[in-house]
Amino acid sequence: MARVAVSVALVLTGMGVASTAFGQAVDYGALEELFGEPVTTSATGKPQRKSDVPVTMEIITADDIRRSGATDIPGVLRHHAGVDVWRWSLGNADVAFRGYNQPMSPRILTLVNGRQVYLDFYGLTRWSNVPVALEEIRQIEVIKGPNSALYGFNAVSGVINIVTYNPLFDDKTSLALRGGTEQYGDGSAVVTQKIGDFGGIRLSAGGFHSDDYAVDDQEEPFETSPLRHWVSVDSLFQVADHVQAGAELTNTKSKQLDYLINFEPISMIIRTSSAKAHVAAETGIGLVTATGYLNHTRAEFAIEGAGRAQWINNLSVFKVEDLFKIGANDSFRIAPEFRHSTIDTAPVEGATVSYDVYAASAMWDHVFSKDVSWNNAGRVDHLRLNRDGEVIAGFPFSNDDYDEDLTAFSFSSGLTYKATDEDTLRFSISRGHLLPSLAEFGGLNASFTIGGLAAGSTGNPGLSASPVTNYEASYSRDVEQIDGEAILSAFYQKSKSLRAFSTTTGDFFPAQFPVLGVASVNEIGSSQLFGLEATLRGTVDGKWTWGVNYTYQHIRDSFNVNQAGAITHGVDFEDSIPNHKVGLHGGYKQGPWEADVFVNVVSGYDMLRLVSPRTLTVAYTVERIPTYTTFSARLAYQPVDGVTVGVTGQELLSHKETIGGKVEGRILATLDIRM
Amino acid sequence: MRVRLFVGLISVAALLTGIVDQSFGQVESRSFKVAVRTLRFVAEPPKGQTEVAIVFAPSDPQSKREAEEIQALLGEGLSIRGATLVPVLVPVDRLEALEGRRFAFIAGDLGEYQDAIFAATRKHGVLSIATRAECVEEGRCVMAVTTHPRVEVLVSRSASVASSIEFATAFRMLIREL
Repeated sequence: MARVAVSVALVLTGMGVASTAFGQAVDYGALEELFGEPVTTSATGKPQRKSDVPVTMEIITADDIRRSGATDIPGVLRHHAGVDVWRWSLGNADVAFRGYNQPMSPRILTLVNGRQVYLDFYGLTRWSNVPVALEEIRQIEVIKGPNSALYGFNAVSGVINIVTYNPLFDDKTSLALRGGTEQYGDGSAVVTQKIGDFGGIRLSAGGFHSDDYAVDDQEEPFETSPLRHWVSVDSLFQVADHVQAGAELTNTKSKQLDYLINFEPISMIIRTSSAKAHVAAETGIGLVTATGYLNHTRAEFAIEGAGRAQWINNLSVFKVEDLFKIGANDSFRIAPEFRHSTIDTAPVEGATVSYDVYAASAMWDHVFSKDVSWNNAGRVDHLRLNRDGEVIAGFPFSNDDYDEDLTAFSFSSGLTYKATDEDTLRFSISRGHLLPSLAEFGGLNASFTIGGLAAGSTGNPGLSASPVTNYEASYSRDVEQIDGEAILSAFYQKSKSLRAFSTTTGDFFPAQFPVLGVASVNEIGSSQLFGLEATLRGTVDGKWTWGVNYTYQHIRDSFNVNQAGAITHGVDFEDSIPNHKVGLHGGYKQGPWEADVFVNVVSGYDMLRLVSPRTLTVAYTVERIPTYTTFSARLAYQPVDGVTVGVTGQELLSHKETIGGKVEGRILATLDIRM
Repeated sequence: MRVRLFVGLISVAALLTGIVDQSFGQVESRSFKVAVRTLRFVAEPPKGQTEVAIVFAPSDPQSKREAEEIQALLGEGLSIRGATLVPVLVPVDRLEALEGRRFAFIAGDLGEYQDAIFAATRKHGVLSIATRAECVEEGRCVMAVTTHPRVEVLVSRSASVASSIEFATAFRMLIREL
């Protein structure tokens, strides 16, 4: 960390300045320009062209984002195969890859330029707190399947790495304004300031507010007008011929109607701030990168009848990576990492739950020939749990019970075979681990009364990480006839040691609590997934673009709860997955005009609804979400270079995706200025 | 679209079989641009005004023509990030002119001169960019570019080591090293 600080200080004082910029770190723009296709490091840790990665991934480009007309990241993602989106309210959407969606979906690790924006305190990505403007995103890298071998815990259903423009190489300045029906308004500004040839700073800020969807009686106490605002400063400097250093600061605030993991509505205000520094140096032992960052999260929420409470989560991460090549055909990456994450208990305060994670990972990529390559990676994460502070009388776990260790080994192996110039086959197996959130470990610390009798709920320090193993084969073909490509993937996935929170008081530790008992989180069993994804897309005359994708997915749960017709735990992956999804896209671009239409048809599924929370008769009912169709369209015109005006229709067909409010359409007028 | 070749622009199949389509005869601008862009990823990239040698055989019409085309593409000086590349024609009988220069295009199939050219580029630490991929396959040129069916940058590891040419680590992982 000291090395990082010293380098940043050198930058800020103008010392160690190189006369020209030489990209040691991955210069995505230059490499994409050179190779004619996007380049990524997210799949294996090794820089690779999209067509060479051994896993199923999508790279959503800045053009794709603009033409989607979406105003948030879930809106961009939902048009792709294998992506499930549950939009609960205007500000709140849960995203999952290949099923297993749930409120506050924990299975996708989301990063911005490699910094985790996934929130450890509850195990979720809160999209409103991702501190980027859509206009500053170079590409969104979507990797499906476990990738814990590279990223560690929580990269089990997949990874989303949002790559923004590089302030050193990309001179991007923009202003975007949108306004429309339902009091919708948002704006963002991105300003990049180059500092000679040796540095660049990018500032972005923005926000949105709107009326939310109409809510039902259960949600009414928590109804809120969603809002979001953020500010971010990112910088990168060439501090010496072969050394770059950068720093990033962010701050966000969002307010929205949320749903907890037990399907309980709640109004939550989340504030995040972060500080990151990184140094990359081309050395005799390869490209060495050191990164350190701090994430601070404060989540305020209202407890019915108990006022407001807050979780405070601090995460610090320090990692070093060495990427090197031996000979012509073997690439390696080794990366030790340390992280410390802590949460102040809530709603009953007075204690802190924390863990340290010591991790080491290694990657080996071997090129057998120009047609065959094989990538292997492994990672060990060792976690040490701890708790300090007061224990509520009668609660089942003492602080000593938190002195737990947890070790997880993750791996991935992927074979890529280019059968012909047009045809590529990929085979992979990977295993990742879903870590219990800090709330599940013990950040949840509640004491309340039911019918005048004492009760409580708490986390469980005895939980293990849930292993997820994925087997996958895919085939892709460049199809000259349609000036496009076809992609077909088949996968099988098994998840073990899945967890659920019991809302039935007295389930687990009745003997140790004075009256009713303490509810907690326990392991409930395993689940299996099988699925297929197919995508076909092409262009016509360079003006028309089109795409169609189809997803089939089937889950079979093996749980030791929710049997005999009584649903006491808020998990039902088997019935809550849409088995079929079809996505369609048609686009046209001619001169200053752009037009795009997106349609998704999602087959019906079941969703649980919590009835009578915190009573003696806690139970769930099942609500059917009928098959629905989403329809969005965008028409844009560029009167002068760099200025685009347009009209976007979002979710023009009203429908329900969750037990929350009905998704309502909006018509937006847009102004986009890019310099 | 003109079917042109930045010499070295041959299909992967052609690379495997060593067949060069004799109908290719002109420098293709796309491949040339790719070749120029790769210079950013050399450990010591060009800075300021940088003379780029174009090695050719005056007695070989094909080589001479390719050299003139490369010279035309570089024009009075081609600006890339942080540098301007200025062409300098270097006949094969004047290879001592490579001294002090760091980048050289090798125009045409200079078979009988390849040993001498490689000796000179190796001696002076010059990154040689071949217009024939065979030169890289034979380990006598450092780099060549193909663009069909997709862009490929071919680098001879032995030639680059012999010439003391180093590329950025990230770049090395994206190219085909032979």
